Amino acid sequence: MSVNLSSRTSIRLLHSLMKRSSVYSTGILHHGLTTSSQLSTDKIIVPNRIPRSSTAILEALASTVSRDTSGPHYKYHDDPYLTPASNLVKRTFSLSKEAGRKAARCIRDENASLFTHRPDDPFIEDFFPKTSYTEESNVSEETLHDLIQKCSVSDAITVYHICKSKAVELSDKVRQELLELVSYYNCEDPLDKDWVEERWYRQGVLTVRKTWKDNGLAEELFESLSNRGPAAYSALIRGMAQYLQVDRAWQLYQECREKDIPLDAHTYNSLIRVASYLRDAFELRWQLVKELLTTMAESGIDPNLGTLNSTLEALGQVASWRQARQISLQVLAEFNSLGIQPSLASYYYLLTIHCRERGPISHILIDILDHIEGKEFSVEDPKDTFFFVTAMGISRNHVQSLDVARRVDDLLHTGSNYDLIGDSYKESIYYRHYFGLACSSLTIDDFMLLYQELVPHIYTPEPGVMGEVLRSVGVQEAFEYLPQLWSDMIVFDHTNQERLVTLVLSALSKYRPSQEQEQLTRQLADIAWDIWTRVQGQDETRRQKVSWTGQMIGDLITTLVYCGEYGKASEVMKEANTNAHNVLGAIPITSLHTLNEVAVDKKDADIAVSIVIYALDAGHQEAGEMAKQLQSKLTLSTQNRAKLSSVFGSELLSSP
Amino acid sequence: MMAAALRLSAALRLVLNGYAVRPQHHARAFCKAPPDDAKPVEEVKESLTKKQQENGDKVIILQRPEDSLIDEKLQQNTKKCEETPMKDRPQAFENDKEEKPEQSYDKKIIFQVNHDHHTNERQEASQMGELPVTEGKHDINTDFSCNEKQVRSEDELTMPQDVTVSASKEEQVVKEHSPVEKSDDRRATAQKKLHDLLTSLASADPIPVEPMVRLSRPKARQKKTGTFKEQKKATEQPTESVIEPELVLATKEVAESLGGDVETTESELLSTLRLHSTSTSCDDKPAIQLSDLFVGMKVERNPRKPVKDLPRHKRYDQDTQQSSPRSGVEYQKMWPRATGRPVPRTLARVELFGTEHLDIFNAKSLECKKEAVPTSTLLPVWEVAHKWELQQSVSHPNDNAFTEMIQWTKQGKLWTFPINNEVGLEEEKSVGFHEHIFLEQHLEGWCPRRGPIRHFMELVCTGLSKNPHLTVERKQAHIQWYKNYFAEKEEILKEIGAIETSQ
Repeated sequence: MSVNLSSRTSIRLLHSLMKRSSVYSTGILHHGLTTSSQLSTDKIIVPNRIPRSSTAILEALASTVSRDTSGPHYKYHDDPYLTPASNLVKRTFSLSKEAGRKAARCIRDENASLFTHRPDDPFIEDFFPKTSYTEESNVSEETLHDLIQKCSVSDAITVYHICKSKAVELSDKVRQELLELVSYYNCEDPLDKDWVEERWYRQGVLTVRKTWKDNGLAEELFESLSNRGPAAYSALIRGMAQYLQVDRAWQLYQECREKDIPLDAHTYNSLIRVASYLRDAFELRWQLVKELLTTMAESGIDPNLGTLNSTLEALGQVASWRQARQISLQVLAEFNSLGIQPSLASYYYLLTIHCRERGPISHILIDILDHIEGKEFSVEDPKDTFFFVTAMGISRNHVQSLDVARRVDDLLHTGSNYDLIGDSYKESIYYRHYFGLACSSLTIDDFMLLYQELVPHIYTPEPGVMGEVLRSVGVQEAFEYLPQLWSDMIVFDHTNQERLVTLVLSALSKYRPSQEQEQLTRQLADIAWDIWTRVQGQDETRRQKVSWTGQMIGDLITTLVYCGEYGKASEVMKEANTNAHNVLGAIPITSLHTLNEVAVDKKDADIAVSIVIYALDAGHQEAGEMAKQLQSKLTLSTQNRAKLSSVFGSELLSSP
Repeated sequence: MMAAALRLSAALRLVLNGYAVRPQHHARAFCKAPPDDAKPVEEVKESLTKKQQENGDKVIILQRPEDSLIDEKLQQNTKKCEETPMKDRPQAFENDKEEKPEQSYDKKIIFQVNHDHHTNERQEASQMGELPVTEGKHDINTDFSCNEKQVRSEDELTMPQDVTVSASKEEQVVKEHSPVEKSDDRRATAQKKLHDLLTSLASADPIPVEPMVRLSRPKARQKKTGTFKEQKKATEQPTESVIEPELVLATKEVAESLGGDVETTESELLSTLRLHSTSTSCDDKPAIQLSDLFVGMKVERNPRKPVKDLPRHKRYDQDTQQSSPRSGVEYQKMWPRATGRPVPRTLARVELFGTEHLDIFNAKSLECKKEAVPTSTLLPVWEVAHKWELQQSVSHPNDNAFTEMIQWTKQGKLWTFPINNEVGLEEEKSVGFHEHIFLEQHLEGWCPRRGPIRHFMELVCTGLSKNPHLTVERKQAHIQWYKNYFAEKEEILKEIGAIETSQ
């Protein structure tokens, strides 16, 4: 669909693209012009061809399509019935789709012998089953090399073992390559490039414990190398540092220094990153980082962006240290003077250092925004994706300014910066903060503009955010939004959240209908009745159930009465009376009064009597007064009279 | 009134103890406050830091001259007692009579101060200058306290807001040695007791006064405090009327609406109000005096509340509601509701790149090197893997069909743009198109120049030249096959005249 939508703009863009490539304009057009006017004077300049990548055209086309906030994401079916809305369904939908692909691939790989027909030229490897390696496979150093280039770790390891058992000679070069690969991935396969959804929904859990496989293949390879040079040491140190085998990484580093083996900047970076695990006191940790940096400078190693980021990360781990802020700025200035531009990850670390939950308020985010506003970023550091979500969190909780949040949001939507949002988890936290801040600082009308723009296709509010929205609707009495919010809550599966249902009901109970709002009144009555039927009809076996409280029933009755649904209100009252054990606490007296008045007006003695009896049972002191009133205003049947006298005693009824 | 006194006592304690936390009951000794009145120390500390100028000064002023005065006085008294023999006791009584009420009051204050020290921290007491306080004296003070209460209560009625004032007033009197003649019979017994005590005191060894006392209190400053007090005295009177009765009423209502300990809340509120009202009447001198006072004092600070070390990796979602469900009120308390107004830049700008450097790396040498050596990677495989992972970390589900096509192109599943029908035909890259098309050259040398064979072979060449599925080698092999075939059949062909005999 997006192709159709954008085709017209794309064609226009293609034209401009071609014009810009100037073969078209200067070459041909210009030539045509000159032949007609002045033939002799102008020389034809044929410009050089601009080499373009195979995806350049597609990228140009893709840049014309912006994210459509009014429709579902491209990965879903563009069909209202099938469009997922709640977070859970979105996730299930996407992952199921991918699971189908996985199943297909699994069948293909397990029955590789059936897929031998290869008519295509050029051969597309992705469409064919993977070669699996067994003990019988004919392997060579070449096979291993290819597998390493493809980053298929488990296959490379298998082939290595086959080579070993078959006594195939492996050169140091290939061993070194394999060492690098297994050090980088810690002997585990990375997530396949095709499983985009899995990566998107995977919660980027940061492990802060040692995961390095001790005495694993990496160390075996390291030992097997005949000549252990800087490359071997660097690979092993980096791997150990990355998977937090800190002590041994440090040991190896010391070994290198003793043996005078030079290491490169990346290796130093990885050591700096883990420096805080080696020392306890804040000061000592920083001292160690400084030592490493000095060693780098002394041995003439050029620092790079990684050095900046790992230094800041090390500082971020001692962020409660008082001097950390000052030092972090010094580090930034130092690297700036070296001509190293910070990446988003550097700014992320700065934010973690300067904006502490318990520390003083720092406005460094504003300064950072002043500096990077309008810039387009590409990923340079794995932590780059943490910037936006952190910045938004700080806008909400630390700076507490919607202005700043808007600036962060603008930056996110600059160029292709949205790629750096990270994953779905970070994205939804980002919007959670944004919504939370907007909800608390905007009027409900302004906030609902934002809400309508982003919900439900970009962001599905979590129950917490929904609660805040409902609360502010209740406080500002913006009842016109309740129908929309309630229908959203239904599709977001929020109707089984007791807290939210309570909030809806308390907002509803404040509604007082007026003449011109007949439709709204009807809608609100429908909502109230919908809540009642939903809660009554909920599955008994459900884990998360809404249980009635007296306040909720009271709000429900009040709403129904004011919306002119007396019959429904009395039904609720009857139910609450008969199944009083299902209701926690008593219905507040104001609601009972409201219903009672209408019951008296409608001369519904049965309900009125039951209300009075309920009020007495609930221990409301006004019960006696209500009974008297009832008697004076209604003519009671003998049955009702008997009921009243049985609870109140006959003297109360006969007294007037 | 009580609140003011309470605040004062709390502040006094605070200063004297160097911000040390004290048990509540000591506060009461000073002003007979109800037991639940003692403010939490944090609060006091806060108010102290806020109002150091007005409040803290007074407190310290109160305490200082007394110490030294009492020293002198006690020595005087003891001397007197020593001089007067037991026989002349009545005479001594007369002498004492003149001074005693004021003196004892002074002592009382000091006693409180010291009482605190004795019961809690002796080391601090030594800083303050320990007085020779004995159990006997304890008695006197308690006995006298009823009298003082009367005297004081008069004072307090007129000046409820500041106990300091009453105390300092009395000091003034003491300093001037103005005899206040009071022929009160009730005091006689009390005075007798005092005398007894003093005599016993004289016989006992006085606890030597530590030299610290003198060091910390230069004489010159006493005069200053005196003048300050005089000035203060002048400004004291109007402060009484600052708090209007409506305000007091309102305070009461507020306190009641807040619930909890209504009295405490009210008194705290009133004390705060008074603080603000007096602050206007205060002169600017205290600023100097406060710093002066602290010169000789060792202020023992409460150790800072240990800041809990946060987990090393502060997760970006640490404060999310899902991780720890909080109630709304609690949540709002933690994060006060933001306002839509732009945040005023109350804090100084953070110069991102403007600060001093670490001075570890030398920028100039780096630049030189950059030009000289293009850096080669030490670990090529590592770099490749790292780059690949980086790219993957920013990949997300495709937004539109174009991005999907980009992805497929990168995976090699799609024709690359711009469309080229020879894409991926690696073997043919080295073969020119002419070799595919102009195949007649391969007929030269064996094919007759004319006739049906030639005609046939030309048709074969045309057909082959149009076949895109065969490689050049295959095409040549085809022609070669015909060549061999015709060579085999040469005899027959010649017979039927398909090949011209060269004659």
